[in-house]
Parts: sequence; structure tokens; C-alpha cells
Amino acid sequence: MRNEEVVFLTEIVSDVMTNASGFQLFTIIDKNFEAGNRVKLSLSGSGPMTSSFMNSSFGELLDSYGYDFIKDHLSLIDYKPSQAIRIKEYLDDFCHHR
Amino acid sequence: MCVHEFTPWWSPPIDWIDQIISNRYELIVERKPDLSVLQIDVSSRNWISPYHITTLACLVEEYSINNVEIVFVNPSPYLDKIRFIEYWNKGFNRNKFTQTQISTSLCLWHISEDMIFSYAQTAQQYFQNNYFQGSSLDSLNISLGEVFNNIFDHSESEIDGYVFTQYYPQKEQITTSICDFGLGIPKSINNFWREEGKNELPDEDALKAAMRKRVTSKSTPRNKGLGLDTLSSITNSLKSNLVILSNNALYNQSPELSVPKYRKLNLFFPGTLINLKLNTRFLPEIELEIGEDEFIF
Repeated sequence: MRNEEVVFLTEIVSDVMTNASGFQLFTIIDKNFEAGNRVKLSLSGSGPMTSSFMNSSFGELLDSYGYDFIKDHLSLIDYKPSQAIRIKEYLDDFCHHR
Repeated sequence: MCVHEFTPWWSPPIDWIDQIISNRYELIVERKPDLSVLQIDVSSRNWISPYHITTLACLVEEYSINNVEIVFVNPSPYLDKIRFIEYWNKGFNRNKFTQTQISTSLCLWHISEDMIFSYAQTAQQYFQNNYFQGSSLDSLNISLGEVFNNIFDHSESEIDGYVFTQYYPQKEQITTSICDFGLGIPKSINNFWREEGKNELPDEDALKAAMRKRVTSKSTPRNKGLGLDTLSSITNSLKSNLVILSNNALYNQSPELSVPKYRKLNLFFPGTLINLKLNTRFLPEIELEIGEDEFIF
């Protein structure tokens, strides 16, 4: 049976603005994916994300695993609707323009 | 003692930029190799806008890093209250946030890479808590973040840059101005394209290209060309105004224009000046977090 891990964004990054922080998030999720885990990403208390942060986190995940895998292995909890929509649009957009 | 005296006239953007570039350190020091003091008469009866402040700060910073003493004379009350005239005093830390004496303005700040998140977050919280309770200023936070990242990813600006934000309650507008004296967006794009073996474009066309999604100068490996598009989308969604002046090009986006305008400038701006006027009438409400439901992509 597949394990499920909850990753709290604000516990692993100090900001959601820079490439460096985005890559930190990528690294944590990547380790979980490699271990065969499904990830629930909690956005609780986090602010709006810049494109640099998204490129280095979700963009890297897309490059490494592809959209279908991410849809199956990553979900959001404790999110604001606009955050979820923005991330989904980002993933959809890059999926369509690869 | 060799002094360069500068008495700016607080004029509209293009004329103002002309004054700034005519007084750049490298030009003046060519004429006055022993230059040791920059004296600026900052008296004013005219309206002083955020773009005046950030561009002048960049100009002064250039002199300051070249060990030229900065002297301000006849400071206007506004510049006094935002403490502009103190910034180049010995021991003054321009990289930290300095509280102004005007509640509607957020400090002039010398953009330092390790505090960009703090400034964007502080700007959002300050105006939300003091003037827009219940409304979200995520838009201001993201806009600042995108521009700050652009400066550190692409601009190669020796002085980094300056930002200043002023809220105008009567106009229902938050104006933020960010300036650097770096490569400029068109030059950055053209440099990358030249390396790729592509033809260079006139500056206004290069700026137009840079505003499009997924057009990037690839200054960092993960750059995907979304920052300026995000800035433009926010401007559009809040029926706001965005002006970008970089190298020989000007970008102008406003609700009055059906499509953004690009035009060639007859002067060369050495870097990038971004002026964002957020229309606060259209700020969305603060959202609550959804805790129970899982969002599946």
C-alpha cells in the first residue's frame, strides 16, 4: 500500500518568492516521490507564490515526473482557492507548452 | 574640493529621466576627474512621485559607491519626512527598512537580495492592516516579488536598485516604483538571443517579446519567462496601470488602452524603471483557507 505524507510548506521554506526556496520544496517532494509516497502539500499560512518559486518547485517536478504522475501523487490541503487555481493553471500551462 | 551641483526639476517621467541620465556619475567624472562632492538642491514646489525618488536614489547611490560625498540642500518637507536626505549619511543602513514620518508611504529601500521577501510581505501587511482591512494585497506582494527577482536574476545592476511605495487615498491608488541601473530588459533579451544565433530586435520589440509568456533571457537555468507576464496579468485584473521604461523602450498598460502600447524612446535609460499604480477599488476580499477538502489536480 502506498504511503501518504503531509508536507507543511511553511515548515520547510522561509519564503515562497525565490528560486532557492522553490528548489527546497522540490527536494522534499522529490524524496517522497522517490520513496513511493503520495504527498499532501499543506499551504497553511503561506503567502502568494512568485513565478520563480513555482518554476523551481512545481516546474522541476513537472520536468522530473510529468503531469500525469503529479496529478496522481500530489494534492493540496489548507489552501486558499486562488493559490490552488494558480498552481493548477501553472501545471496545465506548462503541460500544454512542452 | 570638486563639487557637482544638481538642481533637479521634478518633471514628468521622460524629462525627468533625461535629467537623471545627464547627471550620471560616469559622465560627470569625465568632466571632473577630482569630483568629491555631489550637492543636490532638493527643494520643490512640484509634486514628487515615487519614480522621482527611486531614480534619484539610484543616481545618488552611484556617486556614493564611488566615494563621492552626498550633500542635500533645501530639502522639501516631503523628502524630509520620508527621510530621503538621511539615507547617505555615514552609518545609515539603506538595506534595512526605515520608518517614514508619513503613514501612507512605505520606506525607500535599497533592495538587498536576502530581504526581498520581507519587503514584499511587509508592504502587503502594512497597507492591508492600516488601510484595507478585509481586502487582499496579494497583488502587491507578488508584483514586488516578481520585479525583485528580475533585478537579481537579470539586471546585473552594480547598485542593485531602489523601491518606494506610496498610497494615495484620494486617488484610491497604491503606487510602487522600482528602479535599477542594470542591463535593461531589451539588452538582456537581445544578449541571450545573440548567443542563440538569433537576430537582435529593436528595443521596443525586444521589450514586447519579454512581456510575452515563456520568453526569457535564461539568466538563471530555471527561468521560464513568467515574471513580467504575471505583473501584466495582475495589472489587468485590478484595472491598474503599469509603465516599464527600459533602454530605448517604453511599455504602457492601462484600462484606457485596449492593448498595451510599446514605443521607442529618444533617450536611453540605463536599466529598468517600473511604475505600478494599483487601483485599490478592485482589491479582492481576503480568502479563507480551505482546510477539509483536498485539492486534486
